[in-house]
Amino acid sequence: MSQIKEDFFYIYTISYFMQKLPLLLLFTTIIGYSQQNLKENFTPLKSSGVLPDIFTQNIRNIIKADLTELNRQKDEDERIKSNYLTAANYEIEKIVKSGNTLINDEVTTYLNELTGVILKNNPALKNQLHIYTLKSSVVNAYSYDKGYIFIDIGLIAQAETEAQLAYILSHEISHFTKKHNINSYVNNTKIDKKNYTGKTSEDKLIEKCQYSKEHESEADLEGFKLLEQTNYDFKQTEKAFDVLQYAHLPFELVEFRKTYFNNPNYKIPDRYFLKEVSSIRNNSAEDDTKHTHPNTAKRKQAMTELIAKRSNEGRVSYILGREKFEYIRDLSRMELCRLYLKNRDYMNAFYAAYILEKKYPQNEYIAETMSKCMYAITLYDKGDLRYDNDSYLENGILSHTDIESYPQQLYYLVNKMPANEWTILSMDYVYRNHKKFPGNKVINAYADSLFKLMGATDWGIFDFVRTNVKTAPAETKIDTTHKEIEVSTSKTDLIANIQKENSFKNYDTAYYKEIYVDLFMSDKEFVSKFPSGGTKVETSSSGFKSYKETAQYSNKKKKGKQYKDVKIDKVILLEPFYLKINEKKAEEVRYIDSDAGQEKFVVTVNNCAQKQDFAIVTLDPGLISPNEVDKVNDYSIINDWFLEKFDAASNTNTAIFNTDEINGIVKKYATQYVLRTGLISYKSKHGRKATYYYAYVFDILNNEMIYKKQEVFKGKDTKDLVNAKVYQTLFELKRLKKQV
Amino acid sequence: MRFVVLLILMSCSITVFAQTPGYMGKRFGAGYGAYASPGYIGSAGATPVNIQHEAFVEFVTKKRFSIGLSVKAYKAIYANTRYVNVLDNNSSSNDQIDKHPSGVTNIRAKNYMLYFKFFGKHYLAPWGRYFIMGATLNTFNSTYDPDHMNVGTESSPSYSNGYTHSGYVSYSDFGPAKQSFKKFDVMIGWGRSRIVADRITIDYGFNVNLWAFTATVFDAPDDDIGEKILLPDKYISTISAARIRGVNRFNIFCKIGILLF
Repeated sequence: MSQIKEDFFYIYTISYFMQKLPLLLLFTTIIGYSQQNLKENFTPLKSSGVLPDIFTQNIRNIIKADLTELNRQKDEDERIKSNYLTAANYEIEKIVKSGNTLINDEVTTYLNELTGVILKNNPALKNQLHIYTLKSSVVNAYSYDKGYIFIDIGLIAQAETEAQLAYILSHEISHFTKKHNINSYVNNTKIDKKNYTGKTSEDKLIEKCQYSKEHESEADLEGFKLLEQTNYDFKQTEKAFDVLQYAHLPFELVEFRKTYFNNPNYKIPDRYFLKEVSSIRNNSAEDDTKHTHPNTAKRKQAMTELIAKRSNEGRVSYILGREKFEYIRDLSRMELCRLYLKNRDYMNAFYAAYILEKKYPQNEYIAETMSKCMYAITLYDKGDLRYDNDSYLENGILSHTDIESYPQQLYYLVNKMPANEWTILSMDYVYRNHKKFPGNKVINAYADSLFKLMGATDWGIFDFVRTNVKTAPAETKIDTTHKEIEVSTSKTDLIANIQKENSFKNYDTAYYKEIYVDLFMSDKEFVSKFPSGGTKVETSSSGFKSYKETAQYSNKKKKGKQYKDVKIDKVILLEPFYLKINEKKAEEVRYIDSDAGQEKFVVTVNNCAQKQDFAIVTLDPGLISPNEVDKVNDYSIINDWFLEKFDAASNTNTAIFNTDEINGIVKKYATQYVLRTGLISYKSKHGRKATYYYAYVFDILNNEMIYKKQEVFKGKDTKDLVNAKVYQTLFELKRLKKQV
Repeated sequence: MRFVVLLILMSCSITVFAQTPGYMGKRFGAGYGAYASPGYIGSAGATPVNIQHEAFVEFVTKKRFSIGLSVKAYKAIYANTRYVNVLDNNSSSNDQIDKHPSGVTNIRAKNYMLYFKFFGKHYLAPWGRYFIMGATLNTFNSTYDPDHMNVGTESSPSYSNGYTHSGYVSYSDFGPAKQSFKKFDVMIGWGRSRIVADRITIDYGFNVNLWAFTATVFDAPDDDIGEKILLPDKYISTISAARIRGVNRFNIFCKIGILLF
């Protein structure tokens, strides 16, 4: 009887879902492809849906299968190719699982649709391809011989039409079909191994580049042939080369208005702007001898000659549709702002947002991005952002002379305007954005932080004009001061007075004194938050004590070390790192051993945690099931946080700007601590062995590193070493004390 | 007494457990060790290497520090190569004879040691490279067989049943047939401890007993060449002590243990 009931229930369930299937599919489609309303806001791009096979396949088995196949082919370059296949498989896996690769998101889905259009007549080839979007601001695309093609967000943001993007994809597909990647590897390895009498390493480089350029030219041609089978406009292939030629410029050339920051009571003086911006440099004659790609102008010329022989009649720039393309491109452009921010390229982030703001003036995300940039530049100006040697900002904000065309104005303004004046401007800008989007917690936090920055100076509420009653003309004050100076007689007094005169002159003629008038008059929140400030230091030209000085002073007070218990018993373990290097082998990086080592390492960490009642949430894209796409996204968010964190000088709590989603992560996993740990096992040419172990724990909520361990051992990475160190790390975390 | 010391040490280690990771949480181990002092040429059919057998207990008290207790047992044979000065009992004129006695002296010894291991930077007791230091007490019993150990006057000794016989026994009184001694020393050494299967410790290295090592200068000429000739009442004690020093002077060791908790 019970069996009948079960059968009935089973049949009923199936039939119920069959009935509802169309509805479910419709629902899924709506969820999967619901467009963002960019007029109002933008949500950073995220992976969705079911993860591809590469997430669940064992890389070692894939490599093994590839090597077996290679062995079967009896290739004369088998050894080199086997090295390539091992490295390429490993590299592809790393990229796909890096968190920077978007899976099943709107942009990637669009790229795959576009590939479908290009390969309409070749579904077999289409099925071999795996096309992904890479969260990178670089303008580039990459193709691997395994059929993996990665297109950077930076490149999509620059594309002008669907046809251009289609051509770029065709070009990359051709690299795959022509096996350029593996052939280049074989060729380069052979060049490296050859004994060139009298040839330098530079000669070798040129030879390699020449080979690479031949591949590029072939991919240009083959890509065109693919595009020829579609109905895309040939002219757009030419234009695609223009896009590449000027990829160093913002995705659109929009003039930066000198009045952008002005308000009725505030006008930035002309001295902070260039009279005219430079023209765009012509780099068409660039020497490409040592480049892997031919000169873009030459490529364009070759394409022009190709097109001239063909009829372009009836061909179009859009097959999937202009609106769809522009939406995808704008998504990429919005994402690009975030990527710039992540790289601490605040100027490009601001400019990109500035361009987008014209199209989407009410977009909250754009306002937030621009507020972040303003705040970040304020901190940078005040010396409160400190960077590592390899940071984007290592050499400071670029000079306007390093920039071309319209963006020069912004670079000139930022470099020319003194830090204190930028703070005042930033305060105004961010606060007004806060009023525009009062519900935005991030902008609100930056506004509050700017109030505090103002409070860290001697500048206060009484130093700004707070009513619309005009102050006495500045000249009158200067004259009064001047009279006082005349009383002085001695030379030194005179010098002192002249200096004083200059300082008063600067102060009293300050163009920014009335910047907040309307806010002081009508905004209670602004008045209540604005710092009262100290007594004005009359000898100061600006009224500011540097924020840096104040911060240093407060640090000096912390002489007696005090500790408080932190006692961590739960961490997010972010993809442990395991690398084996053996210089004795031709393939120095032991990919397969490294992968196996990493797998064991994760098990070790979890075992050690279990023995100590220590909770571990492992966020490792290599260890997630196909339905755990959320974990991939979380991994990506935390990785982005780290990218920014590591960019800053160590031992500093330099602000991080990509933190919007961190709170969600902390809440979801019920811990704010992230453990990054790994091990490198090294064997030198002479057989010396060494093992490097590291473990860092970061408090992602409070932006600080709270635990650090890095140790080097003579000898190999024995199991007891790994066990002992991992166990010790967790043991110490449970008893951690933090210096207050 | 030993039991009390052990208890005290254990209780001390328990109090510091909470601050010490040990190896995967395990801080107490016990096991067996074999010590070998190479370089000794066997005599009278003895093995050319002296082997000591050790039982030890060890507990981790700090991150890079552990305390251990061990007992070693070993046997040694001395071939009586040093000369002894005796009166010729068969001589009416009280002639003195300087000769090495025939036969051998058998030594059975125990070595008690309280030691401390200081593990290298970044290592964690009981795992890793370490420097070891300890106080040792050697207790040993020396026995000889007066029927076989004697000084003779005949110039052509014979050899049978593993013993050398003087042709004519002149003197055979070297004190009691069984004599007990105690000697202190200080041991230092270097070693490395590995752990397999999360529980089995394999410990290897070498050590030196400082006094024994220093005394090498005196003990090195292990026969009568240029050395003071012993009197019979001091013969057993002197050669036994020298033999014990010889065994403990320099040792390589390998231990196997188990981490209990």
